[in-house]
Amino acid sequence: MGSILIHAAEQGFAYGIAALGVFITFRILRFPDLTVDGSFVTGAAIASSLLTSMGVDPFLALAVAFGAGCVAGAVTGLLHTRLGITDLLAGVLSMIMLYSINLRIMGKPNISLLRVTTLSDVVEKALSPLGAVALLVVLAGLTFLIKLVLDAFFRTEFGLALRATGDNEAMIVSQGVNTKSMKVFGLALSNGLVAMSGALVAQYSGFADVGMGVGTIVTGLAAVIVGGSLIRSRRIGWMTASVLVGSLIYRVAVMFALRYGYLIGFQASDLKLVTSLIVIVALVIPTVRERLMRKVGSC
Amino acid sequence: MKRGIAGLAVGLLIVAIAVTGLGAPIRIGICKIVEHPALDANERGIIDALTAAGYVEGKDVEYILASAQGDPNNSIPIAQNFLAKGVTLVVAISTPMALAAVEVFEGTGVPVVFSAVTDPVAAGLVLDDDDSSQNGNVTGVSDLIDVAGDLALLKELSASVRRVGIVYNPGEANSARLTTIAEAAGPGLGLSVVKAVADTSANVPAAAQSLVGRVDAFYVTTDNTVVSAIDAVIAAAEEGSVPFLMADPTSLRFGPVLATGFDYYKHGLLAGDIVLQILAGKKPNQIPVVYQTGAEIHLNLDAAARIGLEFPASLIDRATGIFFGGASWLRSGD
Amino acid sequence: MLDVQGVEKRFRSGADEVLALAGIDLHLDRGDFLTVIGSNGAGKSTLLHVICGVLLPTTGRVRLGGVDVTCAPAYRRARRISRIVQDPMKGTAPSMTVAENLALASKRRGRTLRPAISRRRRAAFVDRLSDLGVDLTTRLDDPVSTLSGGERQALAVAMATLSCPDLLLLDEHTAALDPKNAERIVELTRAFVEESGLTTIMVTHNMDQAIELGNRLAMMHKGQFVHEVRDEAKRRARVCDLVELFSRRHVADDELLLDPA
Repeated sequence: MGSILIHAAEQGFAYGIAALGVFITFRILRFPDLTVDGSFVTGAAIASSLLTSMGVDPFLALAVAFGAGCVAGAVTGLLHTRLGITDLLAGVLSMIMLYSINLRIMGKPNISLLRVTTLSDVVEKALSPLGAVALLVVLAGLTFLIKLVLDAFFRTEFGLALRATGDNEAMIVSQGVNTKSMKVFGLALSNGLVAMSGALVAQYSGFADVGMGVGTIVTGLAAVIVGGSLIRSRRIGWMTASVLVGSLIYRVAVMFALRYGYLIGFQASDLKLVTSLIVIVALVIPTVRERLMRKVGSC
Repeated sequence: MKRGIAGLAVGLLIVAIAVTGLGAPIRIGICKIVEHPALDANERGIIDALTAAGYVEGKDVEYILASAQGDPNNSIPIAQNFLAKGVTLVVAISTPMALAAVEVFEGTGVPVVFSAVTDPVAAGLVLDDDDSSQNGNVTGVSDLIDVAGDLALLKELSASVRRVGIVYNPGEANSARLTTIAEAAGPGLGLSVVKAVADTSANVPAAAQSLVGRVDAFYVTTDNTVVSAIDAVIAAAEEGSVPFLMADPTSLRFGPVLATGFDYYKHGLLAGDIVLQILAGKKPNQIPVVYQTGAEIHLNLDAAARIGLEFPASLIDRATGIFFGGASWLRSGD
Repeated sequence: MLDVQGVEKRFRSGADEVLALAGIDLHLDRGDFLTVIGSNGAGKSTLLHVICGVLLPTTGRVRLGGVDVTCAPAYRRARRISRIVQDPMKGTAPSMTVAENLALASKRRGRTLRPAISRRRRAAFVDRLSDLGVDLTTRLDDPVSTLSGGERQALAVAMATLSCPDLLLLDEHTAALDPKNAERIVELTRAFVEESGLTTIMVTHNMDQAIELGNRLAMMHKGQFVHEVRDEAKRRARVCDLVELFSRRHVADDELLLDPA
């Protein structure tokens, strides 16, 4: 039981970085960006290729993946702001282009990382006294660091302008902000984080697969929405924290569906159904609690 | 031969009884990447092999079945869950599933048996498929199909075949690999390979149409994307009046002229046999990777008639199944 | 300060073409305060939009401080032009706090990675708000969406004045408020403009406002200026004169006539 929760938490943080990326586009910029389904794989592809062919440092691979994701996001942003393609379509086009690009980067649809030194290997060796939680500590630390940097960024003059771009574009234009550049920047930042998450997940899983990005947007949104319904705050620090909480809940849901689904009569083929049901429960709890409180209050 | 198998079965039965004598049932985790007729048959074959050897489900052995439902991101949690449930052995069906199982079970001493993996060496699952001594706690069965054999069949069907069109999805590991093999094997048989890419099922019709008139035969390997839109390839082949060979026997009735391939139930039996060897005390690194052989040949006479093609007698003699008059006829060869 | 020369603006609506601005010439000196009245569809808001760059003119030039800005994007002109719009929802970022909105307005170029709200800036915001007599000093950390319409418009005035612009554009900025709040905002505006001597254009539907405020008054009709009074003449102008002007021009507009006196 304990080890299962540790693993779920590891995944919650690793995928949480992608959820933070989705948060930036959906909540901050209010831009429905579908690029992420492609850029997640781009990160995984870049990192795996670098690790297998050049044996680069696993942490450096994360940084390179971040950069590649930024480029992918910027392309979507430029398609939208400079060529006037609608937001959804710009994201879809990038996502489709990335499929081919990812295959080119990888050279084949699946790269095994079993025989190269990955981040997990480095961490487990360096922090062996910590035992089973070594990887969790590093993943949590890394994700929290990113969260704190984002929080600080969103409180700077520049970060504030980015938030206002999503909140009231007409208003922030009249405050002298070039919202087109802001959108390109925001999309780049978002997809950089998503790609970094992909690179992390590939190293954690021991492989990169060209199909691993499908549904990044869905799980990312699930984390954003679940977290947002549990922690309702407009303060940026709480908002990013809620995204990570949402991501943890989602990964715990997957683990619970796998582990205890059979207790309520579910079988292997019901995995996605059970996962979604657990997420629905998490979503509904705050509403039910509110309703109960109201009932108590009125009595 | 028959006696040998019977002897093996009896031997395994004894081992099985010895194992069951220990009390609690052994736990085996079986996971697959997605629900799919071939992979489901694979899973059934594994279980049936163990049942036939005397492992009664619920009494001697307990199976934990899992499917990633098509999402590679689920493969790691599935393997971790197996580990938490204390399985004594893992069977992983498909390449991503096997990679995840090996990653999670590394250093735990729990053997991993893979199944339906096209190229276990390239995937990094094992170091060497023949000399297993250097391999880790991993072995299994490969379903690498005999691409050169399939191309030779097309040549046997009609000597005038020179250009073979392959519709495939480069995003599918197996398919991409098999297409590369076909390109390499073609020239030796006097064939050139023309590729058409379909990244989703929706793009299969266009890809197939693009080959009409440019090829003398169609060939589709074990490509899930193309198989789900197989009608489009059949239509294109018939439009061009050229034969179509499909490396998936279950699709024969849909209308390819020729189908070859493995019976995935038998593939599962082979994986089950490896599981039995391990349960009998062998270490995975004492068991070389098994490459399934003996691809079946299935002929569709109805489809051949539509393009005015007659099968040579040599092929009909070797066919396991024949589709004729709207129904399948199986040969009881063995 | 501001030079608008021969500006025309055409809108296409289906097969028809609407001439929203039909040749506008306007010159403002530094410190001029122009009020603009006119019926609905006279082109008042369109003129402000062309000046601030939200709309590009079909023909004609716009110069600001001697520099041709006809084609400059709105965000670049915004470094020198402040604008307050009619709808209190539109002039502020609703999900951000009062302090964050003020921080957005206090620097219009060269936004850096320095924290937007330092202790010193907070103190400056409190000073500015109390200077303006806006009672928001205790609500700096509340989201703007929790403010009333009047409070938001007061905040918008504070924001418009923070960055010391060269030109202030007021687009019926009190029209959506109840009379009491409207009066407060007008007072706020007057006090600020008088104190800073800011060049200002105010579009309004309220004739009293148009007469009380500023040193110049212009009337627009069908995309053109049809009448202008300034300085001494403007000080002597009365609402009845304006109404008569309207009637004489056959441009009588019910809304204008019925506006509360």
